[in-house]
Amino acid sequence: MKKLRPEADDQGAIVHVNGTVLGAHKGLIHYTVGQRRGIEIGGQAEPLYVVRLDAGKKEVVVGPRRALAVSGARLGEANWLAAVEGRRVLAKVRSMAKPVPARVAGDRLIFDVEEYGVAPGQAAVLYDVVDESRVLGGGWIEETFTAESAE
Amino acid sequence: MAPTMITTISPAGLARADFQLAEPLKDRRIVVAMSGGVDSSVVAALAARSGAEVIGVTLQLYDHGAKAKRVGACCAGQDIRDARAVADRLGFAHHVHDHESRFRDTVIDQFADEYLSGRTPIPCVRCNMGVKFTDLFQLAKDLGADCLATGHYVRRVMGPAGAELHRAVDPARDQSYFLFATTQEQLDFLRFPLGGLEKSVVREIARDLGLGVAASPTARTSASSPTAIMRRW
Repeated sequence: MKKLRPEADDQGAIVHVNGTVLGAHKGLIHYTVGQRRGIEIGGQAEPLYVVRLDAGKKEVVVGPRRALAVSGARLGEANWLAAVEGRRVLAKVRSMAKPVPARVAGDRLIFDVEEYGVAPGQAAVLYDVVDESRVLGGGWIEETFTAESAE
Repeated sequence: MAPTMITTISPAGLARADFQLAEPLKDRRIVVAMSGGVDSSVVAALAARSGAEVIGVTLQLYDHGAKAKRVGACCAGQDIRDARAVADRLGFAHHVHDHESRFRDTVIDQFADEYLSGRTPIPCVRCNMGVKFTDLFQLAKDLGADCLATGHYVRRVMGPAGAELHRAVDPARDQSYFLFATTQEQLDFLRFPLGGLEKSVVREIARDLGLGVAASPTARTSASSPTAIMRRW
């Protein structure tokens, strides 16, 4: 990365979801949403995970596991091989994840049950609920929503 | 060696490796995307055996010489010489298409931008669906092909409304997640003859063919984490 983007000095603060600044990080590139290891902060009551990377503020936002729960995602650059609007689907949001029940509403994917480890930049690939082998298409996860903001 | 040497493959296995082309196949032209690895070499062999005219194409990706032999490297497991050797042995034409500048512009730069904007990118998806397919698609059309065959582990199934994209029968090899951005237009033209085969069958075919690529880098979409790849760059 240093070779490709020598200007990429992206060091900044590690901030808890509750707003507390917990320390400094060595660059956003070293972190991935959902990661637990590598957050070198001691004395916390519960394990902390990377919840969000804020490129604008150069912040690594961390929180407890429940802060990773996502109820929906907005998809961009979607490619559809079938009509999906309003359709019930099985959504796979990471290459190794098991597809989970969801539905499509506009450019949003809404999970039946809150899903963990959904990160912007990953693909959401949708499969047919009846013929689970059939790919209906998918899109890039642009943004994720917590339970309160999904609808 | 002649194409007729594929004699020990089970008929069922061959029947499932279907190129979905109108008969007679001797009047059809199949362009095969060849990486030099086992999978696409087997596709080439199956295409050669089908009776259709076959043309192999290989994209020359970035910094080929230094990185081609790196086991498990995303997008870099290409070996033009292996692909050429397979085409020579099976007796069909093989073209190398220079791809380096566009690959650099689209895949690598986009990956760097995504990473710096706080996203977790999947370079192989961009790679598969962006420059690779677009270029190969155009190249195959320019060569007058009836289809473009690749070694991806997905299936093309003819449904009531046209071609559908399905998972591979071998769940351990399924690449459908990485190919979601395949458009309907591309799907109409693409063929994935390995999607209906178990990996073990593919290896068996490779062995029977004496392809000599059994230890070549394969599974280019699974071996490296994005971070590991970027650190190497």
